[in-house]
Amino acid sequence: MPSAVVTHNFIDPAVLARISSLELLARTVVDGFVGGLHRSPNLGATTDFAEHREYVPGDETRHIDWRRYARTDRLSVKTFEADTNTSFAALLDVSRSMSFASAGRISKLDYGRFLAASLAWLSHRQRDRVGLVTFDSDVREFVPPSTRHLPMVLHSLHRATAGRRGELTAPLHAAAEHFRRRCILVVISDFYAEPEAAVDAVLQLRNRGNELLVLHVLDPAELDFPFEDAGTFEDLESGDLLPVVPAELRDEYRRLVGAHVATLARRFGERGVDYALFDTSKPLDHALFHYLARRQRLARGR
Amino acid sequence: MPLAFLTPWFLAGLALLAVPIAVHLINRERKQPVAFPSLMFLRQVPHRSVRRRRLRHLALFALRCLAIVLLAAAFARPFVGRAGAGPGGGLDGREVVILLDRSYSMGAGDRWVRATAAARRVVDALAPQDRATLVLFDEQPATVVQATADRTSLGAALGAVRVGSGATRYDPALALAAQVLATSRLPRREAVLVTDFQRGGWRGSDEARLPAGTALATVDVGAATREGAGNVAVTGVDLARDVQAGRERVAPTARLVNAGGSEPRDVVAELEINGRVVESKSARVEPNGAASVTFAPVPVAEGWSRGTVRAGRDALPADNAFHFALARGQVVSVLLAEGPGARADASLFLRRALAVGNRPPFDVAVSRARTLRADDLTGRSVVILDDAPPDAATARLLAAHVRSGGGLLVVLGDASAARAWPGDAAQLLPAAIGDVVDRSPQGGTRLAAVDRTHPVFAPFNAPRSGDLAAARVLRYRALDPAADASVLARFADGAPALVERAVGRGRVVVWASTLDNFWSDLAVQPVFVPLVHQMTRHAAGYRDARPWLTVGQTLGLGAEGQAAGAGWAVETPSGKTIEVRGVGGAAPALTVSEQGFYVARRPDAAGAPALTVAANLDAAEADPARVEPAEIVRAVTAGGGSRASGAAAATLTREEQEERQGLWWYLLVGALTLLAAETLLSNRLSRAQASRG
Repeated sequence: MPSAVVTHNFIDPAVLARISSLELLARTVVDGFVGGLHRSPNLGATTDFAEHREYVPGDETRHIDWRRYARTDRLSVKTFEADTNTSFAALLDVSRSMSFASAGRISKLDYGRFLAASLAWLSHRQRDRVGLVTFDSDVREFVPPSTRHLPMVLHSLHRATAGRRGELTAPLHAAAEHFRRRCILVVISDFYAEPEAAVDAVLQLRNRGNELLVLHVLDPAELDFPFEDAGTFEDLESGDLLPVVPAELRDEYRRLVGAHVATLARRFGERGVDYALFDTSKPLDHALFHYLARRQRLARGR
Repeated sequence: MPLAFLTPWFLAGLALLAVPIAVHLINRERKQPVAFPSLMFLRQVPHRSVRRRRLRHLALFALRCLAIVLLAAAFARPFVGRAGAGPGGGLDGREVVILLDRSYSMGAGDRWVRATAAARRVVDALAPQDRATLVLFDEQPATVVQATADRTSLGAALGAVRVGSGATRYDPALALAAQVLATSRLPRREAVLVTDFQRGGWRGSDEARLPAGTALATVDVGAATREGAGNVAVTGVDLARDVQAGRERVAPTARLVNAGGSEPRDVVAELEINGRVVESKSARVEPNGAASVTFAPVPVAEGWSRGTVRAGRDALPADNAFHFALARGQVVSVLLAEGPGARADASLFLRRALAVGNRPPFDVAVSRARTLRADDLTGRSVVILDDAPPDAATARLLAAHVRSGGGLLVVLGDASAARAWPGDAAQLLPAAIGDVVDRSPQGGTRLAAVDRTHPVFAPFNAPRSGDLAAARVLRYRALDPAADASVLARFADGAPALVERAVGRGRVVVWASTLDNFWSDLAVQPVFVPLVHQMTRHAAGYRDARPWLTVGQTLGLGAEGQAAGAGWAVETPSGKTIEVRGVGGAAPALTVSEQGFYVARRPDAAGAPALTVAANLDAAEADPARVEPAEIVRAVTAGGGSRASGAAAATLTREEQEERQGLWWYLLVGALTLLAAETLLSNRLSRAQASRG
């Protein structure tokens, strides 16, 4: 899917970060993204023809297909897909580890914030209901999906701050209780947990047939470990300290992170959950493609 | 000749050796931790990946380690122990200072008996070559017997000493002992502290430190008599005065404290006036708590009255009574004169402000006549002319009133134009009155400069004690102060706001604006009432009479309105008569040293009223909280000695040996030299490394 994207429309997240309004940012991303598509993303819109059926008294006369009447001499009406019946919700991890940003990059929280805003805007544009859950060790904020909740979602995203320790199982279990109808749920987190635990935590959201999309957000420094000087490293969440000589453990670290990402991708794939890894230097459009692909699958399955 | 250390715990500084080791093991390690989202993967890396590097630059490492070792050794103050070098040569005598506490808490139970017995035992144990000094102390130490080997005189002195009324203060007594011991040539020096070890008397100042090598022995007479029932004490009496039907009354409120103990105490508090119980009240005092008992107001009789509040009966009876002396005249009698044409509510704010005072209460009479009679001024402390210029006859009366010690507070206003004041009155004023200055077009002016050292404004000097500049003054009268007048406050434009002048034995104070809400909004400001009180008190020359003193305090007798020079015959509570005279032209002063009532008379002024002064014990002494004897021993001997240290006294003490040898100095110089070499070497290595990099 990403190969079909018109890459020159992409915008660097660090550039996007200069836009103070989250709504404007989301619109910028989505409009640029939509402009690069070869076909309209409005898949469930009212222009989609579904089928013909026999005219019965009481049907709107404007829906009568007069050309078909000319050909068949029988009154038929066109039926269309419903406007929308899809709900979208972003579940954004706001634990303290998400506040990390290496030099010249935006933080993972900001990246996740932009992702969620852009996806919400895109969904709203398609007349989907949009909602939001922010969580760390507990659900911090919940905006139920609604067609009128985009401003609320954007406002909640704007004021989200990373300040506490994070966890996946308990908050996602609590969040799953909040969704009463079938949704597309996008989980945005850095997934600092054992892969099995992370997958089990996310799969709790699958009740009521929710579609899941997992966006794993990491800073390039977390993937490459480019540090040079020996020193003490402090765990942002626990505050634990560890003396480290980066040059001596860089390769091992990269191998462990790579294995972690690969395990997550495999386990999520095995359970039918879309998984994508993003580092905060990647344009946001990639995430939109992932989301759109998932939404198309959902539309086809309906 | 073994090597020893005077302060060996400084050798713990050798632990700092870990610093250079760490520096050399971790090269270029960051000082600030690097924030990282999670150490999850870093922890999984096998330990070999985070091991320290091997030692680098061994010469540098050795320099740093050696410097730390020398520094730690220098601070530990090493010396080489040598036996048999003492200033006393063959002498073997002891210099003993017996410090016997005679504070009033020693009167509890049998403490005093046991204390004197303990002192006697010390005297009896003196060897012929020993000398002893007997010092009694409470707040101040007093040498009863100078250093002597005469045990008879020491024993006789111990037989004559009595418990005093003072509070315990250990520091001056120990300082005196230190002086005696420091000048002694005897090789063994000891101090013996006989006391009940009250926590309140211990400050632990440097002056209480005994000379090096002195042993301090302690005799604790308080431990065995620690009563579980606690100690009830009357620690103070508050006297609320008022005027009822022209009679001055006072309502005493006693504060009772139950210090120590674990049970609440039900006590009966009795109020005695001139030896007669006038009221009894019951009160419950919680352990380590306080209670107050308020008695019904009693009229203040002519002359001096003696008041006493008694409460509780326990092992320490001295603090169960609290004395105070009462006399009339603690009410400021005010004559408030309004102009004949003044509105009915002209002085409303002034009257209301004076009505709320009770420290002192103001007895206010209002006159609306332009002409005052001599009777009107009789007994008045102060006359307030509220925008009411007097006529000539009244001005003369006022002048006489002020010269004889009365006060005059003049409040200006519309009716107070200069022409309204007759010549006699104008001369009385501290400033010539000018025209009305209207500052309302500018939004008014404010008090900008006040003499905060003056009694009128002193209460406003503390933080958050009232904003005098909050009041907005729209109009005032210009004042041209006389040469001998003092300007106490000025408005923001520099014009005088409050001016005073002493006239005879009294004083005249002029406020340039009104004291209502017409010319200013001062009357509705929070500072109004205290400012009016202060101006009135000051004009009246009022001074708080001290209803009692605490033992150890001094009362200036000349300040009580009597001429200095002639002596005073003072009868003490114990019945003795002493003569008190001023020294070097100063007024005579009486320092009270006993609990009870002192009566002072002037033999040269027959018929003059006697002055009664109440003296009470220091309430802090009623607190039985104790300080551990070991704490005092540690503090005053600097860890250098208790009684057991006497064995080392025949030779040079450790401190003296260390001081004479001064090895720490050489070690310190060596450490500094090594550190300088380390700096040079590390700079050279850094440059070499930079050039390679």
